[in-house]
Amino acid sequence: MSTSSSSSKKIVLKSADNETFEIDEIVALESQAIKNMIEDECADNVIPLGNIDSKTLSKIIEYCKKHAESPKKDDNADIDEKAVEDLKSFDAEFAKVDMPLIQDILMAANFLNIDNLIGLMCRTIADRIKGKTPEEIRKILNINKNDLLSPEQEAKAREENSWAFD
Amino acid sequence: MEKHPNVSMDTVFNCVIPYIHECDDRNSVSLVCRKWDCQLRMHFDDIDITPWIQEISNTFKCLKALNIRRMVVGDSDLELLARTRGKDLRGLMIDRCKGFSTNGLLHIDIGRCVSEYDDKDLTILAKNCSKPLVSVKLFGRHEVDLVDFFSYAVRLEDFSCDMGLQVIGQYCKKLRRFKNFGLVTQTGLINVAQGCLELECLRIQLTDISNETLEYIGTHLKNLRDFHIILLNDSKTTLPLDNGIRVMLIGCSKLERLSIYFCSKGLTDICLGYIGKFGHNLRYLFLRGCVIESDAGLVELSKGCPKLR
Repeated sequence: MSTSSSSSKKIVLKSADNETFEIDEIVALESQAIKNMIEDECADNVIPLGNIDSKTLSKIIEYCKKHAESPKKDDNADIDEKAVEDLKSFDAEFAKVDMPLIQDILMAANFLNIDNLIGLMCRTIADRIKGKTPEEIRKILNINKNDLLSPEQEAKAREENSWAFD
Repeated sequence: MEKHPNVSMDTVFNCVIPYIHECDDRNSVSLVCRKWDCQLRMHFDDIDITPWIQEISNTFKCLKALNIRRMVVGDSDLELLARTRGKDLRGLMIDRCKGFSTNGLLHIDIGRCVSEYDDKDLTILAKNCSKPLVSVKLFGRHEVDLVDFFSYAVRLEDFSCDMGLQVIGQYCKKLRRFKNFGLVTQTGLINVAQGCLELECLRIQLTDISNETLEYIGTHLKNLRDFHIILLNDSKTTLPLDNGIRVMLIGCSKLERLSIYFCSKGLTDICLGYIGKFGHNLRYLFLRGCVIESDAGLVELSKGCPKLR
């Protein structure tokens, strides 16, 4: 799969499952990690991303494209509110995916150093676990039962934490 | 994504935890699994805090509170912190730390909340900041004479310690949070209940308790939101305490958190019914030492407490 629009400089990203994505450089620059690579002239024609699968990568590109196209706050002091609202509703829609994909996107965004996207994913996860019991959180995040606290450890942790976090 | 469940959960944890602000949510997160519990209470033994304090004094322009735990804190760190952030800093907690002396504490004329010192240090602290001193936490000190300290610390709102209570009830009229880590007699508890009418949080370990003491609490502590008692040895206590809990709940109508640890039959089914009936605002309930005679008590409990989580 490839995406291209104008004649601007292109960057090719290659996912763990060997799918390639050709994107405008301006889109790739949303990732601070890729930006550093380009600035340091470490980026060859193709940037391999061996720990990001194509499903996750295509979501990330979708996000970066939208954000790269939107006017930046520091570009123009009075960006029309419509653009801001538009981006907000894009983010809200973008986050409406299942938890495994959200975690994959967070991991990838963390690796690629895309601040806004990390924040968006973290807020999404935080919103989903707020007000939930530990058991519900385990279910939401699909956490392995083997690593659970024993009842005694849990009671002890409750006790200690009730001091620690107040 | 390549699946490294542990690595990815760690990343998720580290990224997401700053977005979880509520105490209750943080508690829940810490209970999700062993590793997260450890991570949330990471120990920083022997880590020098100096670079952190330098960063804080350069960039954290609006810092209101700082809790330091299990680190090495030098006098110069305290001096720098007081000089650069002292104007806005409202809370400073130094818990289980080492490295500083009375000289360092002298700089904390903004200070509100410190631990690890002797009574001379404390009195200096209270004298320097008697007006703004609102919070103090003491751990592991059993023989400190605090009369001088309390006579200066008249505005104290938050106090944790493991010492005698009479003097606290006498001087600390504005106390809102009191946590005690040593054993307290019910006489001491009555002293605090009568003297510190603004208490919102009371956490204590008792040698003995009676229905009358619980009634004192209900009568005096109208603002109590968080009540936590541990009774380690109930040989001196007349059980059950159902009626005391009833009167306490009626009086402390704002109560949100109730934790009761008894060794043996301190509470019965009847008490569970009272908690259901009068615990309108309870969000958190922990009971140990409750005799479950039948389902009746739990049924009664479940009819009330609409906010219980």
